[in-house]
Amino acid sequence: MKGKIITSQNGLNQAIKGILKSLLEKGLFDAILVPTRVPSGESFVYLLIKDKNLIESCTPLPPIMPIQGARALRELTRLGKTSLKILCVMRPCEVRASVELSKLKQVNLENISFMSIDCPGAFILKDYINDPEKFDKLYQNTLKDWEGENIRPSCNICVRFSHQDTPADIHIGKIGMKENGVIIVPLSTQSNELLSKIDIECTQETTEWQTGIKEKLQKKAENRNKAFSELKGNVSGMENLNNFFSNCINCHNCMRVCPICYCRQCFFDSSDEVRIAAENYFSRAQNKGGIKFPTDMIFFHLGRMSHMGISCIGCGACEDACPMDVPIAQVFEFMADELQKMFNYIPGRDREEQIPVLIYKEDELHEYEDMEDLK
Amino acid sequence: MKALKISKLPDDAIRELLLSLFERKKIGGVFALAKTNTHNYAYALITNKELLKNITPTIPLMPANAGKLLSRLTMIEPVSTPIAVVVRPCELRALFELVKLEQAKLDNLLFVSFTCSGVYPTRFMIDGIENKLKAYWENIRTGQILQDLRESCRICENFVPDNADIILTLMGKDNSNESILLIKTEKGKNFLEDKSGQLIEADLELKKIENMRSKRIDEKKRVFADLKTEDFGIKGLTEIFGRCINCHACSKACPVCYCKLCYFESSESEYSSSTLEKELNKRGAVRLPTDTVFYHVGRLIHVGITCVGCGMCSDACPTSIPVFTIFNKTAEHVQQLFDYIPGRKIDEQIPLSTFNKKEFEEVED
Repeated sequence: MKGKIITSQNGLNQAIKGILKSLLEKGLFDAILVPTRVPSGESFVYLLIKDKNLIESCTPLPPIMPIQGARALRELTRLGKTSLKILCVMRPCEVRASVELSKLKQVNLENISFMSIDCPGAFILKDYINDPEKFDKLYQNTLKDWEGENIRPSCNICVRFSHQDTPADIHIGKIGMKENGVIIVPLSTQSNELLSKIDIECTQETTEWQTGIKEKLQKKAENRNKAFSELKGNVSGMENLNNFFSNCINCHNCMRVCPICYCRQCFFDSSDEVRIAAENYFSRAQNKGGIKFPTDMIFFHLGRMSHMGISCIGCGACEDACPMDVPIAQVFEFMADELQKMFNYIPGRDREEQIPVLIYKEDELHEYEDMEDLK
Repeated sequence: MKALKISKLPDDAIRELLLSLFERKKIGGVFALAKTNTHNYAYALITNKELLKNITPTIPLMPANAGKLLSRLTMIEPVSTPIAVVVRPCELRALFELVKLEQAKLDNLLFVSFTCSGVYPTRFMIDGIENKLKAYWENIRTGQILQDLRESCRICENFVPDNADIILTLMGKDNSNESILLIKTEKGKNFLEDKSGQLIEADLELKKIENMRSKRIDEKKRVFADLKTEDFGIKGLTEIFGRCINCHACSKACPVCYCKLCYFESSESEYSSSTLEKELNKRGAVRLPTDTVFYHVGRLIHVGITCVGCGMCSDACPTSIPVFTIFNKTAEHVQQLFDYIPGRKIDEQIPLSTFNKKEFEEVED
């Protein structure tokens, strides 16, 4: 793997903006999909930018992830391919979610390229919105140390924060690079040629960056194991689950912001679930002496887990959007991790790889065939 | 009017009332806020009278607007067994609106409510609100507005449950052993006809209610002045909803936003890439997902006339947008135009679904 190291006195975002501007100027892309700060300053949204003068206002790697990038790309290509050549500038988990959605036919990747960026994690959305200035400052440190206590729990346990398992076209590296150093890494021959058209010749060694990634990966993997082993005791069995989700108010916001949960109408908001006869509720209440309203809270979470678990990319958007601070992302990631290991599947890592639950193999998972308790 | 005097704390008094209704087979169930076995609070339909000990009607929390939940319960058919429903005034008004919108049925429901001093934001449930209760009751007694209550509650003028059958008077009370339950309606009287206990003459705590109402009106002026909705325009809307993440939590939490499939989640609101490309060519940049302000304005138009001002929307917003404040300000204007208070009376039609040959002549020209 080769790259091109550039120095940017004005930080990572400024360096990326320079590249984006050149790509637009040279007509190599028609538009760039990239996060941009909102006018009032306290958050970021995705903007599809055509006018190169507007590139200056974007923030390629914002300190928060208010809207998962795959949701933005889905909005653009849900009904079919775009005729414009578009470069999407995203965090690695957003690229993976986009690719996963393309397998689910919710995103059309034709004419779409991705630029992924080394991701130090994102701050908790609510924290940032309450005090953007404080967190903007903190973010500068986070970008240096590549960790920080205010980073979202899902990001602290993320082991795919760089180019690992991320099918982007161009990657921007920062981990382990000396002060002001940024490395541009083409991940395919096409992008190598593309970059050379804007005079970025990627011939330098990437050792410094790769060593940085290795170090961080070790740390994050430790965090992940620790978090999962703590979680294991807290979420097994019905009683534990009830406790874990006890603050849930059934708003279904976790589902709505999840990039993977794409159903137009969730079963749990559909007639099957909403239009239930009073007598039915009554007899359920009588069985136990009483029932909570709304009903089926745990059923909703388990249902969602079994629907999207295989494709969960661990972005943490669900947790950010929970108005009751249920640590939902962690439990979903924990479960997804087990499930994905069973199928040796990493969602979104490869555009060609099919989602295991969509393919039939005669010969697989024999170990479950003879399980006594399944008989 | 006739009232039941029970020498117990408010929640205990309600429990006693409900228990006696159960025992005299007047009701077969209770719908009320209850403490769960995970030490939180949630609404529950209780059919076993032994579990009545868990209900906590006056706990200042509203994890969901009960109007919406009762619409779930009675959407297809009314309950066949009478149920006592203990909810706050805005929840009752929401339910009445939903009945007008054919989303709920009132048959066999006995409504118990109280003069409401408001609730805390639902987030307070995360750390528990037990340590807040002393201050809460102290402020009910002194008639002050607690500043950490939901904003919707701090500025609510419709805190008397006019449409309840039985009203527990709480304004100006402390959490003491003397509870007065007014029997407001014939239905209430029928349910209580053979109830033993002390019946007295009593009325709403009118002076204290007026005092609280005027304080809340002042508070409302202040809140609306801070928001500066007058200078909104499209620029103001873009700024205030700029951080919206299009999760639509406000609509899901809203009791009167009842569409099963919102327009903004339907195929109608999906754009082809060519449409978006046209926009891109025109403006140089396009925000994705689209239609953020459009969604909120659309919802304002749809629910404005029936907005009961419960504040669930702001509570559910993960990015702390003052959704309630904007909606309430708008709703107030619309509702004043039609002299309509949503949910006030069951036989009062929603203005948008009634045709008056003679109205708004001033806007005709």
